[in-house]
Amino acid sequence: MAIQIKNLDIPTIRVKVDREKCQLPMICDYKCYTKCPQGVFHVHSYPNVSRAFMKPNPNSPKHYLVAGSAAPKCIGCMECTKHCPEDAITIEIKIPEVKEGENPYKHPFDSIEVAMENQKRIEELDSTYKGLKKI
Amino acid sequence: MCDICFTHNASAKIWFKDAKRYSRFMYHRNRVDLAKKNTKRIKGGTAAIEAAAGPLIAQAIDAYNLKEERFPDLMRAANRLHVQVQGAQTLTLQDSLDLIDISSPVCFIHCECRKFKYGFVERDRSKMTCLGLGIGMLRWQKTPARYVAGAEWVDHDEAREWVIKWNKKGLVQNLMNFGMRNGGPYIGGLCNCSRPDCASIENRLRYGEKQLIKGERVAIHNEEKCTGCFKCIQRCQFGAIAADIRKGKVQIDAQMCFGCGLCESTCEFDAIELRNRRDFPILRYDW
Ligand code: SF4
Ligand code: SF4
Ligand code: SF4
Ligand code: SF4
Ligand code: SF4
Repeated sequence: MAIQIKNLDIPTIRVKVDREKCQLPMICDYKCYTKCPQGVFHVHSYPNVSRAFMKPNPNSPKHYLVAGSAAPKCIGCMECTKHCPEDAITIEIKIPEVKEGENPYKHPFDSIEVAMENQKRIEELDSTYKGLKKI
Repeated sequence: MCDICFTHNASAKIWFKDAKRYSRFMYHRNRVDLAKKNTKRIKGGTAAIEAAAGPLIAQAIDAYNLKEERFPDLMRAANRLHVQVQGAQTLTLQDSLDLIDISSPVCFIHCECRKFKYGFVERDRSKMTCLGLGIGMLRWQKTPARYVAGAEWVDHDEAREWVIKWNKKGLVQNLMNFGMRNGGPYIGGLCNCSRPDCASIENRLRYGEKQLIKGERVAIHNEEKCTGCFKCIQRCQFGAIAADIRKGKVQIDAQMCFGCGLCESTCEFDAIELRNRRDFPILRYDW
């Protein structure tokens, strides 16, 4: 089994599905579920169960999506937010701080010039993503 | 300046397409450091890096088996040093062909990992899977005491044909660089590896040793095109592909993918796409 040393320099990510907006996933044909290459979304077909008390929540829709336990698999490809017709998904990313004059991607072989060149391109790219929130 | 310098100049978006990385200048500077190390006159500095990295890795691997609580700290320290001495990165087939184009001369050498691990040295060209690049190979040829099988020189076209053949067989292409001191890495080899033999792959996957870093690309799977033939699973040396029984298709874990492109070249339905690792907000920090 592969082991992982916890690296604090890797950003943390959270996938949020707004339950108010995503009421009936069957209408959109579970777009996020089928488009996500990482299998982040799960479909539950029974009423919501409150975590604390394990009681059913009568107000919740019959089918709903969770992006809970599997969310660390998300890579931020933004396919789900692109295809969601209700804009119900937000991807929250917490990016580690970078010091001045440091390679922001911690790529061991990049020179700082290459890293800066790439960063410009990446900032442009990120601004085109819908539903990406950097915190 | 010739064409190569213009197309692969310092502003290249990918670090290994920078012609400087293969130059005599870089090799020379690194070699001078090596000489200093042999005389052990320098305290700290470059000599210390090289002397400390090897034992640290051995200690860390021992700790993994015997003293688990010490393992993470030791491996983190080893990673910090080792990448400055020798490093590797996974390449796609196209990138490795480009690598051969930039560097010269090219030769076949024996596989060091197989020599260390099993005492097995290929003396027969048809069994060799390692390519030595650049002027460092002249030195390799000159010291048969250490580099037992010597260097067998080939021209670029032949080297390219062999790499394509190895890729078809299912070997992963990794570039090897030597020395990060004095202005960055010098690229000196193109390895064609398989998981059980290759120390870089094995140490990375088993112990998290980051001598081998992930490639510039990553495989993204398209579920709609996938027919579930499962051919790609056999090709992945990194264990990133798994069968998804619910859907009758495969799932590629992009966080485990090293971007070698072996799965992409075997998929007949274009269901796998190689994309730039830096396009993904999480993966661009994950090397
Ligand atoms: S951003 Fe990509 S990986 Fe993350 S949940 Fe959306 S589709 Fe899946
Ligand atoms: S794509 Fe949007 S609306 Fe459709 S199931 Fe996913 S979150 Fe709900
Ligand atoms: S990296 Fe691969 S080809 Fe190179 S010496 Fe090790 S096993 Fe052999
Ligand atoms: S080779 Fe292509 S079609 Fe076959 S399982 Fe893999 S991704 Fe799917
Ligand atoms: S998933 Fe494909 S590209 Fe990624 S490591 Fe495996 S074979 Fe290579």
